[in-house]
Amino acid sequence: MALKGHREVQELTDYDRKRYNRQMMIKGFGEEGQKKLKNTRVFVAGVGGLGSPVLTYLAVAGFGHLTIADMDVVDLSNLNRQILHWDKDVGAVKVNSGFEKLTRINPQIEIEKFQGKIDENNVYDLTKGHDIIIDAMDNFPTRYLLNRAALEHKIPFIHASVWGLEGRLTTIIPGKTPCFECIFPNAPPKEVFPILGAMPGVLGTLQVTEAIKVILGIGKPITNRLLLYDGEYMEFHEIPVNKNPKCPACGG
Amino acid sequence: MKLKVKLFANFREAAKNKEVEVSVKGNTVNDVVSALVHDYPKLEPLMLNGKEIKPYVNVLLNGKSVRDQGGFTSKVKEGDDIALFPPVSGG
Repeated sequence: MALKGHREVQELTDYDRKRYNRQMMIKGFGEEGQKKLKNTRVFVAGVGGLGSPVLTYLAVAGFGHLTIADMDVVDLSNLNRQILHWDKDVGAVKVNSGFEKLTRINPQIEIEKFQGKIDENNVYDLTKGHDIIIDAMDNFPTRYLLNRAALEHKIPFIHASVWGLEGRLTTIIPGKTPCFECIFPNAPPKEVFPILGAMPGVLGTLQVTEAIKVILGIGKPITNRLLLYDGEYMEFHEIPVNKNPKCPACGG
Repeated sequence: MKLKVKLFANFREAAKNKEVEVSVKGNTVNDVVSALVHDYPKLEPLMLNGKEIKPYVNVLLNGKSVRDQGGFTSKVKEGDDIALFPPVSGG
């Protein structure tokens, strides 16, 4: 795992043992698993529709450090899905609004904010020192950059995207699975997309499930597979995905 | 030949159906898309650039991406399971 400078290992406290008791009962979890989460640094790109459930569930699960990144301010039209932001936050910087709620949801964890655009000049530094990147972005160009950063730092990248009553999910492990660019070599056109809040709710919680599994090494993550969630007909389709031997990002 | 095609996201919106049946002249993925666009003209701007299928269009032939097979010239036959889906970017 990538480390930013010297990282002191944090031990579980009595508070932690009580707070996280019910999840430590899960097979393969235990105190050791909880301690891993406490010592894991997560980079979450986007504090919007996906970012809201992702960050909420990462926070309550007790991940020790969350870095939250977003360039936008809260718009009234965000509130049908971006549950970290409330009416009083319209016009506020999203990372500030998110930070305020997350520190109240779990005051014991560390949260770092980045307000600005993730671009090709800053993406590697921003994500350096994290153990995993969660994709809660709303556009392909930034996803391609995050994918490159995950490959560079050799850390897992949990992708999700949503549209209307649908969603997509896959887990990328650099060196082992196809990368984001292998799976989606071409971006769709930009659009104002229709979306129901429950869709990022589903996909975001699936991303957190994947993050927990990958960090703890339990279960079987959705690697080499792409989930197509069809909420309109309540169908979960799985598609096998393969490395592209000519992939410009990972080289296959 | 007649083929059933499953559609997702804005492809589904444009055709107003989850699954459509098209009469395909020819036997490639390109021919399937031509037939689709003929029957559902609203799909044309989403799927075609002139006569070429837009590169972002994902085609699944019997559950596997044609990108790993023969691309848009992959052969199709009666009874094949075809699905078309766009990448979606929402977050």
